[in-house]
Amino acid sequence: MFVKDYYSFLSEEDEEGNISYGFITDYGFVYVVYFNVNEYTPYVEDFSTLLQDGYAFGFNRIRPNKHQKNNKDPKVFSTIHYILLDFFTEKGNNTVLLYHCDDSDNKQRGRNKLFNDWSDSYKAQSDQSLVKHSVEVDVPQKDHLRTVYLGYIISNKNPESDSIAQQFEDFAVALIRPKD
Amino acid sequence: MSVKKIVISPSNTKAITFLNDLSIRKAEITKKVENSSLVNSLLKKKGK
Repeated sequence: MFVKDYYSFLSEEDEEGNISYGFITDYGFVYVVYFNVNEYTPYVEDFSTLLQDGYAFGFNRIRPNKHQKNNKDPKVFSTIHYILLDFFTEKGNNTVLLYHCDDSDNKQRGRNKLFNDWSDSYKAQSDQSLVKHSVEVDVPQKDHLRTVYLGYIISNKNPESDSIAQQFEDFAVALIRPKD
Repeated sequence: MSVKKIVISPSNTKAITFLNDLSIRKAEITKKVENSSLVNSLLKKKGK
């Protein structure tokens, strides 16, 4: 497996079973990568393969102070990549990570592109250890188009990968299906 | 072949409610993470 340089990290688990990993960058940013259980419990019955071993995955960057400027830091994504591999090792290959690129700050398009660039860069280096799929969801508003991205990440060793892909398609169909 | 894009009609309240719920829960997680002991300890360590 191709391994890029990455930041050292630590992890902790809360009383509900949610797991967080944290690391500090050379520029002073603190990143927390979280894996939350029970986020999708209301939908498990309908999409069991997709959700029974599912965690909501995401990450937050905490700026050390408001004057700290953004820096392009390739070690951030290699660290998150390594954290994902660590998480799959801990939780097993059946684990499914679901993510949602938020539209609250209107940066979801850039965030999704970053995600895709990161995934593509690993593929280009023949690292196929993770499989990622996302779908763009557009919701026309009165004065603008609201776009969010929903997706999942699994290990390439997940024995249910075909079934997970199918249930993700079923979920997409359920979103557009008229009310019963 | 796989779904790449979904366009939701403004009248599809079921889907809009689902997406709104996701955003609300994500905002709650963000707030929880930012105030977590993990972040506090990492910020402290960084300052040392």
